Amino acid sequence: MNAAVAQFIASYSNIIDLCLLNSLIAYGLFLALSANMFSLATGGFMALGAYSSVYLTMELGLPFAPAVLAGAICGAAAAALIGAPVLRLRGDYFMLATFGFTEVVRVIALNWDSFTGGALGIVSIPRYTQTWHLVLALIVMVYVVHTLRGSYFGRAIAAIKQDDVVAQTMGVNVFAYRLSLFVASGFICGMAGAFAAHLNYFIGPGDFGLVRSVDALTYPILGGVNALAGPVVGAVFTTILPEALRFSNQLREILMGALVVAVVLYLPDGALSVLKLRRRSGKSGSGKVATATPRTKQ
Amino acid sequence: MSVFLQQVVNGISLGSTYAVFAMGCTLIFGVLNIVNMAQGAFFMGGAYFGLEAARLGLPAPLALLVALVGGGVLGVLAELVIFRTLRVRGGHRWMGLVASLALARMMVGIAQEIFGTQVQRYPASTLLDTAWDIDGVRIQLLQIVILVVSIVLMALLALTLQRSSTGRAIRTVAYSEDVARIVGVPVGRTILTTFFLAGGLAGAAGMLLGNLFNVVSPFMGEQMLVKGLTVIILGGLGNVPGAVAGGFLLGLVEVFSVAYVSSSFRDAIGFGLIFLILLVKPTGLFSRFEERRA
Amino acid sequence: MTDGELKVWQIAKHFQGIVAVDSVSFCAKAGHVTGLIGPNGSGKTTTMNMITGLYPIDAGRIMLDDENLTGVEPHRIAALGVARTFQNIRLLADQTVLANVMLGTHRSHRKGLPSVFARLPGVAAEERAAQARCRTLLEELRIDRLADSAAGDLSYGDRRRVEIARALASQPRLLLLDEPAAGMNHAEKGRLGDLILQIRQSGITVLLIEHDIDLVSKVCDHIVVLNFGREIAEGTPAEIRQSPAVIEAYLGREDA
Repeated sequence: MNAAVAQFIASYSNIIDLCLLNSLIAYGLFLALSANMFSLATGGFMALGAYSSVYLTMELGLPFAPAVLAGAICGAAAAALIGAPVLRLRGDYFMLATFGFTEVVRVIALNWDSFTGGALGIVSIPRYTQTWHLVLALIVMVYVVHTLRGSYFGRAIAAIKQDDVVAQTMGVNVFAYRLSLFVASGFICGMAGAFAAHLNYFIGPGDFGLVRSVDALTYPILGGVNALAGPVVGAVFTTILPEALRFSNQLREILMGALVVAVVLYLPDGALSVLKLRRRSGKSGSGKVATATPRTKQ
Repeated sequence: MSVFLQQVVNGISLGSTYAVFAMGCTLIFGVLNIVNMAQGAFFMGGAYFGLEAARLGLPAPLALLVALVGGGVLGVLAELVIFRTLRVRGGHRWMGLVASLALARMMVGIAQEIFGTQVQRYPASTLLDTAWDIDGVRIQLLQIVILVVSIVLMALLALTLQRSSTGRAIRTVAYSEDVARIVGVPVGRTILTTFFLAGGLAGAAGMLLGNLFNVVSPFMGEQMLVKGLTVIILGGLGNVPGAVAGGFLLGLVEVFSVAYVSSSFRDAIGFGLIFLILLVKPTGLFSRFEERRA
Repeated sequence: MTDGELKVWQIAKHFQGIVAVDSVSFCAKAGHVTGLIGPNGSGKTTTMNMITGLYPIDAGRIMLDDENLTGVEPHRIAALGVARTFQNIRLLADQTVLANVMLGTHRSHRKGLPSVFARLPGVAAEERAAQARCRTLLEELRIDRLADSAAGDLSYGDRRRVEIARALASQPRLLLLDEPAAGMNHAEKGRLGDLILQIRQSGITVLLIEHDIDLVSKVCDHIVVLNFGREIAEGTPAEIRQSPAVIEAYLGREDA
């Protein structure tokens, strides 16, 4: 109980840290979504990053930096293991496999008492994560995504997203691109897990389930998957809103749900599509082109 | 031996509720190709509808009907408010996931407002209290009823899909919305019907499982959604018979691992198996063809 | 320098028991335009999908010059110098024409990820060179004025041209065109015919799927006729027009 109270206070006073952390996760998901990979593996990656880094800092007494790196590598390795067999298949099998992965990790975390503390989790984790760590990671991330988008790699990724058959016939190794992006996504989420663990004093299996994965998907999708700033906008919005609605727990859930539904219904291409529509209508008056693409696809 | 038989009985009754729920999931996820995360909330809603009906003194079959229709109406509302609007506005299908998830959260919040966060139980009845002891194997009347109801629901769904014009329409829409439009299938109405069927199955499963464990809570939907997705993995996307088989399999695996695997990894074994299936045969244990048109 | 001669030996493809292509063999001679014609559903596009690796082939062998394309992944086949267009035009609708064509230059980029992230000067130079090449290509195809329009906003004929430009940007040895004249008016078809001959002039081997007999007669050196997944005739345009088998296969369609 004490831990939960401590976590409550920590998360309330550290809303900025939380926004930064969630933005980082949002970019991790953005990488996967940018090549049409609907990943529910975030919870699993974060759990791997969190538990492994906590083990390294608390049990083995390693410094924070190598522990975070190790957490990130765990996430990346897991992504390679899941991605390699499943990414060649069409349809939603990838989504199902990533979901299955997150559940496996959660169940293991729940039962491997000696390593994870089981259902009780691990408490009094030293608070090593500093705000500047998160800022730095986020800046690097934005630079990477921005540079990628401006290069021929970004062009290939955009082609994969819209029509992977075309990408293939133009010489893009779609499988290798998808796998690399997914591994990068695992790396980021693993790193975020390590940061999260050393931010909250406490980790437990409940922090990393399906809800965590779907929340993480919400950030970039809500913010818009076509804009560089989309993930940040979505993450900050969904992080600050519940804090602002803290006056009533149940009412908050209802209001929050209603708000998200409203955003989705009125801005079906994400919050940042407001800007895009305005720009387009200023030029040629046809904002419909972008939305017409998925339907002409086979 | 009696322990074994007991687990078979428990596994089958549990699995039949999973199968009913998963049939609905596979209709939406696999056949309509829509990611609807509110399916678990319909399940929770159905359990409360059934509970309220039972408290009003309605006999069990009528209460089940209330749960089924109630779940179906929730499904129809989700389609009308969210998914249809998104289709009309050309939103990406991922937006459906985000919106349906938000809807599920809203419904959990609303259920908490109305019924509170406490676990609720069905009123005592002969259905819940009758049981027989055969050679050390305890069989509840409830378990038999659940199995029978589930089989009836499965048969009804199979008949609807295979024999009726609605079923033909659903299969045509699943093949291609454009083709359906060309041959004159009312696409919007067919999708609406499918949502009603899927929501109804979820609602009925909610009442069945709520009775089986005699526990109804606002949070029961989330875990069930996980089960539903798991069964889809086992049975293959969009494969209705696969969902039935997968549901029973999951029920049996869960019950047996609780009874026989003493290690703390009992759940992990079940999930590990599922994960293995995903890696080895991701199109499901019960799929026949794998190659699709490019 | 290799020339881009395509040889297809007895290739076959079944879809869940239905035969789509059954033991088809032909050769598209280097530097020539070869027509692949036949009624709807005769297996033309399936053949093209097998050549480009989109469909794994059930039997037979496909060679491009000395290289075996059988069972090779689509992106590797593209790297070997095979480019194509699609029957149902597949452009990235919300991107500009130039961006679409630039995708064709993908294989020509040599700089790796580290150089890109370090923003080495070579990366920008490479990008500028590719862009210059694409702009020249757009000029040659007389669509340079559209370079910055969204591909989805273009007319049908222009979109076909952009798709051909994208394929040419990959500097192929072999170009596959899947019904490029579909939906075009008479004048547009005429210009398309000139374009195909112009491509032939530049030394690229062309395999053309087309229904329009005038266009096929005008540009093709050699024609292969398919019906029900089998090859029923082969020869020069003049020979094909005389062939009883071809006339029979098309009978009942001519009056439509």
